[in-house]
Amino acid sequence: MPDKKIRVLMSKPGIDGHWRGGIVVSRALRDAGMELIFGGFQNIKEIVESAIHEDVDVIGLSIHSGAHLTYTQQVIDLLKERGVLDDILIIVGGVIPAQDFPKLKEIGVANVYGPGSLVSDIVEFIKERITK
Amino acid sequence: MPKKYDIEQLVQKFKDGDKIALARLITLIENEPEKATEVFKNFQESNHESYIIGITGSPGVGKSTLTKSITKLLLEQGKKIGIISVDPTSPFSGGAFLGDRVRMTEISLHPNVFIRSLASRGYRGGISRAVLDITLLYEAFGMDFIIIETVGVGQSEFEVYNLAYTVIVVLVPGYGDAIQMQKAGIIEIGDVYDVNKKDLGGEDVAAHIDMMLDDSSATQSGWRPPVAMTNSITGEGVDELVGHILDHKEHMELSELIEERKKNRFAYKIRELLYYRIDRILESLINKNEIEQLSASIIRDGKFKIYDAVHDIFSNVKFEMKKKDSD
Amino acid sequence: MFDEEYLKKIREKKEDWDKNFENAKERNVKFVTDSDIPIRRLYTPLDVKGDFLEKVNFPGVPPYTRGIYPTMYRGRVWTMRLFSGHGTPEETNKRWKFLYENGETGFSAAVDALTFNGIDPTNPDGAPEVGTSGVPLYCIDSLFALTEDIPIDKVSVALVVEPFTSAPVCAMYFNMAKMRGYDLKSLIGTTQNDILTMTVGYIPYKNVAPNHLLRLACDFIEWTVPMKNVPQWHPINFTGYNYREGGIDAVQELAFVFASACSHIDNLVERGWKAEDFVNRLAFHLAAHKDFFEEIAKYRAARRIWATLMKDRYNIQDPKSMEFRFHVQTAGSSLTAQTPKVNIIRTAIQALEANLGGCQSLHTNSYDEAICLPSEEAALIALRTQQVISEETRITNTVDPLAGSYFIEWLTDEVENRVMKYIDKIEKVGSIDKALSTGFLYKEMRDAFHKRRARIEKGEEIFLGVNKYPEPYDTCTDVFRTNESAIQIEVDRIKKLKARRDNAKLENILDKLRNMCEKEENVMPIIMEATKEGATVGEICDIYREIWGIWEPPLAI
Repeated sequence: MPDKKIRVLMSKPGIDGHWRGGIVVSRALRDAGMELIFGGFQNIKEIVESAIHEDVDVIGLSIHSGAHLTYTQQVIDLLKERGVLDDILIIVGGVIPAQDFPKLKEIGVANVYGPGSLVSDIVEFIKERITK
Repeated sequence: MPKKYDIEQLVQKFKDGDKIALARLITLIENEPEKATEVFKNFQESNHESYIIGITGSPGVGKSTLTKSITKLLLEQGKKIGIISVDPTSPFSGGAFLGDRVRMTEISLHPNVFIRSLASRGYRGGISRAVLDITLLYEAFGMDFIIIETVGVGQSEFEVYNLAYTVIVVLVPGYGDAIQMQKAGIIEIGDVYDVNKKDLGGEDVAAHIDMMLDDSSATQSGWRPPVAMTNSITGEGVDELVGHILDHKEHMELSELIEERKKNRFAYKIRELLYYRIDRILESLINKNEIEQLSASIIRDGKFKIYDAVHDIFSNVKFEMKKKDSD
Repeated sequence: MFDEEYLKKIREKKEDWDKNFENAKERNVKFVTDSDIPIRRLYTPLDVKGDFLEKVNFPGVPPYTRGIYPTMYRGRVWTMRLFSGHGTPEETNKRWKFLYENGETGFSAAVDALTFNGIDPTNPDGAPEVGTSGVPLYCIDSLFALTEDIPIDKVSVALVVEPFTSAPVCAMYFNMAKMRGYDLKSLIGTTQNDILTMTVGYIPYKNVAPNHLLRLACDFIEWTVPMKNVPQWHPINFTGYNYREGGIDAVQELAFVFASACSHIDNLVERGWKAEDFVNRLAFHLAAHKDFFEEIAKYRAARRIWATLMKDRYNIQDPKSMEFRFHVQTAGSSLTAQTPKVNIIRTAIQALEANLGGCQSLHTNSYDEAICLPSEEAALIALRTQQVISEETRITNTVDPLAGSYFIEWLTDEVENRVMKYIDKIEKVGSIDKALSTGFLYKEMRDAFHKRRARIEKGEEIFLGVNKYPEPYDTCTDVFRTNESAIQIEVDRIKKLKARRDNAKLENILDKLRNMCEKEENVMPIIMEATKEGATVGEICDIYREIWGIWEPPLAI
């Protein structure tokens, strides 16, 4: 009888202190029955190493600093280098201009959530992609 | 897409010291305990022993930061450390917010450390069923120390007592913790006590614990639990605390009390495995719909009939169990 | 405030009116303020309690309910101060000059996340954020670049840095001013230096514990004002705005700033100063949020509460030391990324609240701020918004024009009472650093946030374009991008500085700083010396971290 839970790492790459968005999404994912590992401030190596130790299904990157393209690219490059990129779904949220959505998806992000996004959409998206 | 794991391949990589493989074997056993047999048969020739430390205390006393500080010191001594951080699963959603790792970022990249956050997953007492399995995997992986960190709510302090060879109880000044512990009997389980956040005071808490220890039977084994004071932000006092832990370790090993604890550890696991199987049988016998219907009918016909209703169900269960036995 | 006999008559008539219109139809919505204060259909003289001279009185005299100056905007219009800061100090200087030419009357430098947290650009963990959310000010050279050709003794400058980095950044600024030939006694400006901004407004990255932050904030106040090194400076700006943005309401906003201000005063009094020595230089920074009348009542109540606190708690005699001086910022959290031009309307209405409430200085948000730092065009519209109010509306004709409104006076009382109760609640936990380290304020912030979120989800709080008449997000505005080569420019700036400074001499000074930190002596004199010799913000903050350890704030989800 498998007791499978979706495991998610929520991380804030860099040093910007706008945590609220990441925490709200974390809460919503927990309330949707997922196991949410809260990484807080992490550098790129720390994000990837945590994702590996915790064997997560999803990495959520919460970025409000305007440096989303750089950080996301760095995370993806390192996941690839460690050979785990294909096993992990990456979602990005925060103050991300809509103009940057296609670029992020192109480099391997599964979905992007800008201001005014509904947490219920994020929950649905993850469930859909991980369990099906 | 759910991930797929190939046990044989993972075990091979695990034996080469690959952390990805360790992480995935943990997931596998946590999700499908049945697979443990298949995984563990690969490690039967391994006889490496890790020393297991348990850290417990109320939420907010700084256990994770302390775990980090202790680990930092042990890493400096060249040790390999496996950490297990347990947080409760929400009984309503089945989800969990695992927030211990955020306190350990500083050590998380060290090659000799592995940190895993675990949700209790509704397991009785609050410690994840998978904890003991992970300690076994950590032992097979060659860890020198295993640190199990768990929120001390309800029964989990006592569970950590059954899993660890040295138990550290963490308290902070000003929360009336000392009195609470006396009530809860926690004073019986600590091998080392630590008053953290000493910058907020704490001499009186420490004195209070000392007094209670003097009055208790805690010294029967020839070990008088020491009371340390730390500030896990500055790292002040952590040296001394680690000193106490290593002293206790030595005491355990010299007095062979450690054999007692090991017996405890496995007896506990065997008991839990049996409970787990029995639980599953019981779960399969209890019909959720039936309970709901009965509950509705009791509300309708009178709540004082509740014992009759339980009695009826129970006779059915007994019947079913007999049937199962004869199968 | 009214004749008893006449009130009796009004009461009778009011009862009749109530009865007659009891069943008059009202919409099925909750009539409450943003702080959940229930609002009645109508207010009359019956609702205005107390003595006019005691509670309302005239402007320029205690309790200052109507304003701290007798003439208010008839004497001088509020300072128009827009937050600036992006890319590099040179680019920010350029933006300052652009706004100055267009009528801005005060400058403000919002710093980037690295300067906020005392991280140098040579640290790869933060490097991608150089200049992305403010101006990078890592060393004294940056301050020269920032203020080039700016008369800093004529136009006031607000440095938006918090206790963790206020000493090094401001020391760099003061050293720069001295080297330029200014007398520090002539400098005018403000340092934000607000402990709560960096702890509950945002989550700090590798900062030190609240008790040390409080001490650093007070070191700075002590050195500038009572020690008279920069006597005209506002050494602290209690920034209720920042935590209000995190979801708390108007009542909590005021209670947070007053509880915090009292902890700072207590700290300095413990050091042996008298409150009179410095309280008239303490400044405040409040929000102008969505609830029009409640915000106006909030400003009026704030002035009265402050005067009362100064008089009753600190036994202050000089009326000048009871004046509540405040800057206002329109609410960034009320803006939407969807249909951004609607933000211009929101900002204009909020700006009007601040002016009707008698602010000393005002920042109007740019319409693109929900998505990026302000573009030049958007910043100009924000400035013009204030100018429409000051130049075209004639609201500046008289002082406190809303006084005497039954509703406004009642609401001012109501806000005041609630704030006093909430201050008690905070102070039961202890001084402001205790309220932080115990996690109390974090829980309050969390609860407020989730309450607001639930309200938005239920449609009780409206965001046009988001939860009513929703618009797709991808129709948003042009995005202002900060200079991508800022990282390289700033790394080079620091390299150049390090090449020319006397490292042995500096090491010596930094050792003295270690000593000061351990001995709990005022760090400012030694930081003045260190930054003059070329110490960077990161180097100073690393010493704090080394001596006091890195603090992990409570995690309230």
